[in-house]
Amino acid sequence: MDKEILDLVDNLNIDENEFNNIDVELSHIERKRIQKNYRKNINKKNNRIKKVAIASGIIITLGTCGFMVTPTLARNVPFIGRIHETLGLTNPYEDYTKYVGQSTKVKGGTYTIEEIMVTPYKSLIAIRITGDEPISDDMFGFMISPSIGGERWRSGRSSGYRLDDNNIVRVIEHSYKKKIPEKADIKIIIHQEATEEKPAIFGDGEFEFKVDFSKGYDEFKSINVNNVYFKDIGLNINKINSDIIGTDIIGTIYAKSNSGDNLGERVFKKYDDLKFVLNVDGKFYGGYTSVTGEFKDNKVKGDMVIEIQNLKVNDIKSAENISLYVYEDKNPLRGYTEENYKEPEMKNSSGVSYSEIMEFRDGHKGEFYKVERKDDVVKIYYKGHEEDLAYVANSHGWIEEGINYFPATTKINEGEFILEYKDVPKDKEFKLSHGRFLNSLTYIGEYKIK
Amino acid sequence: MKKEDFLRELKKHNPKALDYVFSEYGNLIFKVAYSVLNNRQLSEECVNDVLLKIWNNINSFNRDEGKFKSWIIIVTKYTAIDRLRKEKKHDNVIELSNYDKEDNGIEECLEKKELREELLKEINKFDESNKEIFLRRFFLDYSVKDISKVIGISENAVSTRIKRGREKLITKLKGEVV
Repeated sequence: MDKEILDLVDNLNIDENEFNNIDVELSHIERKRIQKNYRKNINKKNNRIKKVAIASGIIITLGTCGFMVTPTLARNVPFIGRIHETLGLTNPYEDYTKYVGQSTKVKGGTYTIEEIMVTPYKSLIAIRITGDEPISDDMFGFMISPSIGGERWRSGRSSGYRLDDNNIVRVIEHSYKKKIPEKADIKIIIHQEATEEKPAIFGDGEFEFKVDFSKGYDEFKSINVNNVYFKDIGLNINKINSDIIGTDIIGTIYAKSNSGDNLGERVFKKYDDLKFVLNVDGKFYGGYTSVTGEFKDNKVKGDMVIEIQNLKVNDIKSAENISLYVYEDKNPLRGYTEENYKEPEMKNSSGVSYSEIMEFRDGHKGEFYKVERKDDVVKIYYKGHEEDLAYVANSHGWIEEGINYFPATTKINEGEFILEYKDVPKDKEFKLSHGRFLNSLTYIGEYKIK
Repeated sequence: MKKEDFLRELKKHNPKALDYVFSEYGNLIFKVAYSVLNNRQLSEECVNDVLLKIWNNINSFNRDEGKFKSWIIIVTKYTAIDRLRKEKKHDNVIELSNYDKEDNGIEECLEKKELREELLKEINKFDESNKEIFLRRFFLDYSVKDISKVIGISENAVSTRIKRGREKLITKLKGEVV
C-alpha cells in the first residue's frame, strides 16, 4: 500500500460496527494456515528447514529449541547431556565428552567452548554464551560451524538452555559427509543470526585447537548396503552408520535428465513421498529424512540421510537381522480440508496425553487404544492398517523440558503395534504427537541388509 | 510481551506482537475482507497480505492505540478492494450496478502511476469533510448511500460533493481525468 495513501487515510475512522452484518469467522484451519504463512514471511531466518529442494549448492539444516531455566552451574558440571541429569536420568554422554574450556571475547560478550564429543561422522559441541548485558529469550539463534580435520559439516540441529540472565548454553549436533579423523585440529566459527530489524548483539568468534577424540570414537559400527536401489530417482542406499548418538541410513543420489522431464522437481517430490522404516531384530524405527544436492547440467547429484536418533550403536552391533521397509505415498491429495477438520479429542491416561484417533484421507482410522506406563517406560498400543507402521514408527513424544522421544515399535498382529518410549521421567507428562489426515501409504518392499 | 506494549513491540518488529494483532483482530480483518471479496479463499489471502502490510508499514501509524483498529480496517478494505480490482480485470468482469463511467475515470487515473501522485496531492488539499467523502468513495469503495449514513448528510449532498470534487480535479489536472 502506498505510503502516500496511508498518509492520506491517516485521519479517517471506520467503525467496526459497519461490518456487523458480515457473519463470517476464520476457521481454526484457516487461522493455522495464515499464521504459518506470515510467520514464514517475517521470520525466514529462524525457520527450520526439514526437507530441501534439489537446487544448486549445498543446503544445511539447523533447528532450535526453547530455553529451560536452570540454576547457575559450576564450570566442571557436564553441559552435554545435562538436561538428562536434571531430570534424574542417566547422562548418556557422560563417559564420552571431553572438557575444553576455551573462551574468546567478542563484541557483546564471551563465547566458551565447554565440551565436545566426536564420533566418526558426528560431533556434539556445547558452547556457553555470556552476554555483557542480559540475554533475552527471543534472541535469534547462533550459527555454529565446525570443521574437524578439514571436514566441514553437512547438517546440524541444536538445543539450548539458560543458566542465568547473562548465560545461555547451546548444544549443537553436526553430521559430516566424510569420516572425521580420530585426532584432529578443530576450527569453530560462531556467528549470531540477525536481521535488519534486529541486528546482532554478539560479534563473530573463532576457535582453533587440537583434540584427541578416542573417547566415544570407537563406539561405532558401519554396515555396507548393496541391494537397495531406486532407479527412477537414482537413489542408492550405501550404508548404515551407528554410534552413541544415533544411527544414520546413508544414500547417494545420481540421475540423468532427459529434456523436458522435470527431473529435479520429480526427484524431490519422490523423496517427499517415500517413507522408510528400519527393522532391527523385530523392532521398527522411523527416522528424520534430509536430502541435499544439486541439479546441474541435466543431472541430479546428492545425498540422502535418514537419522534415527533412538537407535544406538550397541543395538546395531548385536543385531542379527536388519532390513529396510519402504513405503510410498501415491495419493496426490494432501493436507486438511476445512470440511474434514475438527479439533482432535485429547485423552489423558497414566500421565500420557494423546489423541486417540489417527485419521487418513481414504477414510480409514487407526486407534491408539491403550497406554501402559511403568518406571521410565511408556508403551502405547495402536491398531490400524499394516502400512500405518511408517507413520506410527515416527510418532514422537515429548515432555515439557524439551526432550523429544522416538519409539521402538513392535508388531503384535496385522496392523497392530506397540510403541515403546524409554527414559521418560515417571513424574512428567508425556505428550504424543502424530499426524492427522494422512495419506495412506503403499508398501513397496522389504530390503534385507543383514 | 505485555498486551499494552504490543504497538511499541510491533514497531520494534517483535513477531509476538504480530501474533497478538492476529489473535485480537484476525476475525475483524477477515470480515472486512469478506465484505468486499465475498470469497473465503480470497479473503484468507487478503488477511495474509494485510498482516504483512501492517508489519511493513507500522511506522506509518502515528496515532494513539485507540485508533489502531480503525487503521487496520482501512488497510484491509483498501487491500481487499485492490484485490477485487485485479480479480475483476482478470475475469474481465464489470458489475453494471456499480458502473459509473465518470467514477471509473478517476479509478483509472489512480492506477496510472504518473497521474496518481498528482491526484493524491490534489485530494489532500480538499477540506476534511470532502476529503473523507472522496477517500471513502474512491479508495474504500463506499457507495453513496453508505457514505451518506456514515457522514450524516443526504445522498444528494454526497453525490453533489463528489461531482464538484471531480470537476475540481479535472480543472487541476487539465483534462487528464475523464
